[in-house]
Amino acid sequence: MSKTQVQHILDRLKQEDSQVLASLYKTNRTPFLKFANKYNLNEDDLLDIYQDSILAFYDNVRFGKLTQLDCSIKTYIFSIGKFMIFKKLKALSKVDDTPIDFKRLETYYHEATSETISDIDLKHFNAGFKKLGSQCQELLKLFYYQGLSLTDIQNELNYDNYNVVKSQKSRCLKHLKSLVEKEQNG
Amino acid sequence: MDKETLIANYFSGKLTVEEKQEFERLLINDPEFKKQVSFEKKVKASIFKQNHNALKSDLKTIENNLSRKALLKKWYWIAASVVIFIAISFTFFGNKKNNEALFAQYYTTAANTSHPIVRTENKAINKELKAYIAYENKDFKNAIPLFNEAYNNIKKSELLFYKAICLLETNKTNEAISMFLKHQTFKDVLYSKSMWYLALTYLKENQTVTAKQVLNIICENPENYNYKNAKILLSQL
Repeated sequence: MSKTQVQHILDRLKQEDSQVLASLYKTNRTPFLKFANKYNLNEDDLLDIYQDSILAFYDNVRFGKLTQLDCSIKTYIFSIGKFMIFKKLKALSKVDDTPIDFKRLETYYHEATSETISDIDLKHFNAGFKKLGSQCQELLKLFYYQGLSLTDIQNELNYDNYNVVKSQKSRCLKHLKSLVEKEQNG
Repeated sequence: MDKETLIANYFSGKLTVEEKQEFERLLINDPEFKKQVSFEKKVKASIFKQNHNALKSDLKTIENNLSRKALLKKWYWIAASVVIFIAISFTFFGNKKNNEALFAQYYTTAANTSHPIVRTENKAINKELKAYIAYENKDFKNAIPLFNEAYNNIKKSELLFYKAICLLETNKTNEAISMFLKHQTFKDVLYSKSMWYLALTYLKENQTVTAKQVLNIICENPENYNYKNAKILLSQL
């Protein structure tokens, strides 16, 4: 695959093109399972890891953490997968320098696999979140999901100054809190 | 810095060392602060899960469509394997397999699960990485001195396990046995794996009684590496 083709795929993914994501999934699936087969994990676990690796890659591209690649997409996805396999095997003692943003991947892995929130809380938070206004939804998503700082958000959403974003975020959180409490009590 | 900014910077990963200390201190001493952090952690987790789960279920749909197609193919292979298995069973019927054959049946080179190798350009490669690269390339002869040096430098016990595998692969069976035994004194994450390979090595050396003793130890705990295989192998000896 030429550099232009890789760039094209990255650009399409940045536009959240689900067809490109699907084709990426299908192309790399068998090679990944073959490569990962030597680690003592069953196929369900491996597929789970593969799906998370694809999504971590997608997340990096969509949110602008990865804008160009010096290796192939396959190599990149395999590196993420290898990291996740080692995490799963809990045998990770040291990871070498790679083109990957490991801090971000670490957070991603943590959010994707650990029980940071109980199912019942998740239900209430999701229901509360859906009832928020679209502006608040967008702001909270940019901050907590895409990992933008308040200054980034100020530029992204064209706020006048930092304090406006800060108090807007604080209002949104308070509103969300009351909505979640209503869900919990209702 | 006010508490709200402190929490915001925590989530953006932008706390300095001093701010981090202040953050930790407030977590312990200020119940309101702690409550707010825990609330925001849940906000983060719920937004993440919501988006992640939606995307993941898209991928699962793709996966299910792929698997259905693969299923027909799979049944063909299962049927073929059953025929071959029956044929082999007839050939060996009444014959207890000898140790060499059992070794060959159960032995596969241990995968490197200790040190992921990701190659990048312009990076100095250390001895440890070199050893693992040689290992993954099945260059066991050259891997042995590399594991030696790496171990002398950093004293990481897992290196001894891979060195033992290299010795076994290069037919230095007796040296492999003592290396596995040395490795096991450290009781690291590869301990039970090391036991399994030690059992196989004894088998290769025709020391069936000792092999059985090691297998019996493996069979004591279902969490041990290759617990099921150890049971089956034991019944075949």
